[in-house]
Amino acid sequence: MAGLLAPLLVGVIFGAVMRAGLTYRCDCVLDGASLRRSPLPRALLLAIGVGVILIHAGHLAGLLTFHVKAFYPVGIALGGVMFGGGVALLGFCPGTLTIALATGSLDALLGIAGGVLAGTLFAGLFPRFRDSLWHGATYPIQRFGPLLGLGAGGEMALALAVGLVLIGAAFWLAREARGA
Amino acid sequence: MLPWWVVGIALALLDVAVSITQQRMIGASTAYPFVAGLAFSGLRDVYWRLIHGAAYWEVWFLIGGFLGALAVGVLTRRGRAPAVRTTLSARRAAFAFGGGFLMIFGARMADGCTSGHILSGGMQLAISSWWFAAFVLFGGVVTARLVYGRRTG
Repeated sequence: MAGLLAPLLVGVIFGAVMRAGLTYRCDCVLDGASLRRSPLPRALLLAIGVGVILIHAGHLAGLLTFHVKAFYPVGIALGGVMFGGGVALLGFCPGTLTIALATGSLDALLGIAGGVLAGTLFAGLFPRFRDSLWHGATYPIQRFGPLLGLGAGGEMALALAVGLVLIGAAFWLAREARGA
Repeated sequence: MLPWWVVGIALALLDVAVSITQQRMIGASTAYPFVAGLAFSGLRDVYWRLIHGAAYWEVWFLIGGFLGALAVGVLTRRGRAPAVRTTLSARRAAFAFGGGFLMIFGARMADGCTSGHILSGGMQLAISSWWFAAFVLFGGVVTARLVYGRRTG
């Protein structure tokens, strides 16, 4: 029981914030021109920009460990293209589908049904996918810092630089939106 | 409503708090094959065992997302916000179902989605997540151009 309270609470905060900010819709992908106007791309850029600084500072302070997904370029690239195409057709992401459902979106209900069917199929195909050319080789490199040979201080400097660029990009998009 | 920059900062703080307290980060897409496994016991094999721990967290996270959004809708008396399309034609229904299918199949192939890869992995400067984001952008833009055409408005 205790195990479900934390994700439930995180979800409630996530859902409330995304709903209140109207940032649960990925319609920016549907229409390139609205990439500037939609609040989602700049909110996401800002979140990653602020987060990259905080998460590296937290790691430097010993408060957290990294949880990075494996790098297998072929499978991730193919999955990424499919994912991007799917989001463009549907207009929501996996994490925002239930938020959209709470607004009464029939699109979201159909998207969830399609997603569960895909999950069913993928679960069945997974053992074959894992060993196939479609998955490809997995490489041991995980993060850009170690790849560039950076120590803890160097990684923090990299995080600061990337974070500031992303934050700047978010506010630039916001300024463009005002001008659009 | 909430300004975009408040949403951005709140998402960053929430994901960092999850990392510190939950020894994981926000993610969503394993919930879908997990729900499929709940419905069909025959699917509870290799993949189910692999994702079980993460998926349990993500199912409750998504239920929380529904409740949080519902609460905001009720409190602001705007429970029915406009969906991506206000009328659901046969074409739109097919796009929504097919899009959901492609999106989750792709997410599971790549082992992550917008929240697990782009948000959480992006802020950790994970190579896999930045690689994923580049191909998502490519797939999204190409699909939008092919399906919806070049729009200006």
